[in-house]
Amino acid sequence: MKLIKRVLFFILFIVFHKPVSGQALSELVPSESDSVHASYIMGTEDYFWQTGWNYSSIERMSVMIHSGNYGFYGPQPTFMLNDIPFDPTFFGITYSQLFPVSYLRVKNREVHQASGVHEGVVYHSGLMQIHSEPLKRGISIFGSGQIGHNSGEPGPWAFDPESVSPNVERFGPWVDGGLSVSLGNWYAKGVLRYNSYVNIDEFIQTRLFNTRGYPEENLWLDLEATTTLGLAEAGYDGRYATIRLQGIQSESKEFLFYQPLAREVPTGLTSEQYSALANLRFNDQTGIRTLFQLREKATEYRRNRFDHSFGWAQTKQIFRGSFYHQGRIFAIDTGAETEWIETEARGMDREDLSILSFFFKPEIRISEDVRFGTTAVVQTKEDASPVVQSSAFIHAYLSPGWNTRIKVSHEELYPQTSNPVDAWSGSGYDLYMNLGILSILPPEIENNRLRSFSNHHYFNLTPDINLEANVSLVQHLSLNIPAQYPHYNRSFNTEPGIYTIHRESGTHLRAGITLSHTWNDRLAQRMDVNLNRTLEGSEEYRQYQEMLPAYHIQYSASFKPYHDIKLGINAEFMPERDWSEFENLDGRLNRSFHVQYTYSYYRFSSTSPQMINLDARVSKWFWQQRLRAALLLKNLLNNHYQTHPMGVRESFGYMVRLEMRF
Amino acid sequence: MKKLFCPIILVLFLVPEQELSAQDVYDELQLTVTGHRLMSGTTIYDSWNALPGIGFEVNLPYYTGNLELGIRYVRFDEYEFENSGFHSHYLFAGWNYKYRTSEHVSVIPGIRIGNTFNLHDKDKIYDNEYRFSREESEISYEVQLRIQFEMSRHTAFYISGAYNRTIFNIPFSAWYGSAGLSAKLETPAWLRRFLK
Repeated sequence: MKLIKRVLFFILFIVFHKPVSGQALSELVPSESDSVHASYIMGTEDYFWQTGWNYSSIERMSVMIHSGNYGFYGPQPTFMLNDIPFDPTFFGITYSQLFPVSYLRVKNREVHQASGVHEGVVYHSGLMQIHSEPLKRGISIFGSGQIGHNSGEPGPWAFDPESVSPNVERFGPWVDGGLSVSLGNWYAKGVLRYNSYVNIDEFIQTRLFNTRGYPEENLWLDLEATTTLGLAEAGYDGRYATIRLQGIQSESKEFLFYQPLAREVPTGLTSEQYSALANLRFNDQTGIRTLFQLREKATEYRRNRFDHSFGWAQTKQIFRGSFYHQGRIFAIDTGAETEWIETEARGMDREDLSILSFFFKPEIRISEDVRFGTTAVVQTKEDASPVVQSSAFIHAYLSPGWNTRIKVSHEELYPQTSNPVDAWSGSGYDLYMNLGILSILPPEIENNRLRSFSNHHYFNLTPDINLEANVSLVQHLSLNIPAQYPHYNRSFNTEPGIYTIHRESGTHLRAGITLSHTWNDRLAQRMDVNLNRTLEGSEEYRQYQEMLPAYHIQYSASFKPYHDIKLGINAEFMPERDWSEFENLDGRLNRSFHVQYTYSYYRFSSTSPQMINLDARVSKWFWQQRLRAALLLKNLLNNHYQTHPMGVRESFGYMVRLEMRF
Repeated sequence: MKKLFCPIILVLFLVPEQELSAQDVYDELQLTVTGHRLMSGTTIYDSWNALPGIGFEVNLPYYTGNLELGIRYVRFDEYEFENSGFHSHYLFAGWNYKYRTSEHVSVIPGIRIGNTFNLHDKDKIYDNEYRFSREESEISYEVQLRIQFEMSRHTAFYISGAYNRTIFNIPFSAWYGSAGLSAKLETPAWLRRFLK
């Protein structure tokens, strides 16, 4: 206790004492990303930290996100960068490598839960809007290099046959660069990202080596995953109009962990997206938003001993148009979105699908302290009845420091949105056959339907302390739950069992508290506590929901003792989680691959372990905020950090980044 | 342990503000050439012999305490495991705090974090197939206590003891004894600008 008091005393001392240097802080160009409130992204998990979303990852690079209503295997969130949506998801896996923004340029993240409409964009499973730092006037360039790995390298004991151990996980090099020109209201910018990663975890390596290995030829193909992404954008930002033309291209060599197979498929991923955005503002309150996007995504064969491949390509043309008015009494956002989707997949005739969505989102101030709003999204497609996602809320300011929101919603999703691969499979896509999966799917996959009730309370306890409490009750009237119970295989860890979809119903409760505190713009801290409970439902439904932790505690603090240095910690507690899908692997041996290493193994468990994780980071500016060095120490307590039963059990590690901007 | 830890925290952090005002950030550049000797170590000591090492450190005053950058080189000859001799380079950044005990003597505790880069004499190859690169690296941290003698306004001499731990799969902990000779200069304006 005394120690805690003394550490607190130190913090108080640093916060309140004034720097003695004669240097005027105002002489320095402040970086918005350097504020104690800014997101400081150094890895994939930072994007999802304290968002209320859970993620599961095999290698802490790509993730399956549980954003609330549809589970890890449901539709992934919608992502936007500066008002333009992008799609970093392939076959249910979201790749942060495909985010078209450098980590160091991320100013903040804006997260919206569940479904709704945000600035003319319809979303079904949460939305994350990433805001990048504003462009500097004139010509500006930036670059960064990042590398890291986990502890536990063999060191000189690589020479001792009795003590040699495998090399450990290597992250990087990740190299980002960019150039921007901003003259008056016009701007142009380009971003280039290169991301490399070698999964050297000795246990994951077992199945990857074997998947990419040809022992009869003594040929062992590389295990590197790389992504190259480029973005080019030009635009005009004026008082009455914003126009943006943007192109994004990416190529990846990846190992995509595919749930119905329960292991990775070596694959290439390519994507191109061209966007044209035009927003017209008649005045400060009223305007029109339009956006056209052409998006092409495809998978490519990457050599593996099973000749597994996805054999899939898709082209989407999306047009959105909406009118908005944001008045003091009345606000509205209404418009339409149409998607023309061409899907070509092995074994399936080209599928042309057109989904038309209308949305209507009015909001009215009933009195000085009460607002009421609704959102209605109607989606139509050929040969199917329209589906509706609707919600209504009432927001009341109960006292100067207390306001509350009650929201009810009802929504229905086409299987093309919630379970697209299964929908294509029904049209002849032979993916499951190619992967050697016996699939038993219903002839017609039903829509997902749910209704929910939520209540949020927001308290301003003091000018510096805010408290948010929320509770959500989600009743799934019909939820398609993909399920596959893999069998054990010594060389590849798993063999796929029967893949099917359970159509289940049930009720799930989520509750959370967020406490945030800011002190002198030098210290910001926040604690999130989230609870999950299944109130009713079948065994399959309960098992699906139990992949989420029963409760989850996250604490972060960001501290700037001086203008050029920033310290931060992220602490997390997560109890055990059950992944019943992997119960056939319980107790089975997972062993290292290389014959020269000391034999090492552990036994699989379908229960992810309880985790206490502590990350710390420090960054320092140099050269009048042109150069920054950052160090991230991950998992300081050196616990096994594991978010998926088949995933890496990560121990202490670190990342180093060097950033430059001119 | 707790009894020991609390005073260390106090000594490291609870510094009176008057002391801070004596410093002007980055105004004095202290360049130090050091010599090192591995005094005691775990695990690695049985198979490798550490020769005396050399190092170079740059020390600059910060708002609180001092920031430092440095490198320490030590050669390890093998006792066994052919070609396993290696050159060890510890590249680090650190923070320390200077307590003056008299006009000419200071006690300086500090912490360092960095990376140990080892360059072996040759690659290690098992069964003509499994190759380990001769370059190995791992994170290291270090706690140091230094006693510094101010010989003149522009020169100083120190001796120190440091506990270093490198988190290899078989962690390597070592005690180093060091001596350093420092020259103190006014930091060039261009370097001050860079550091700010």
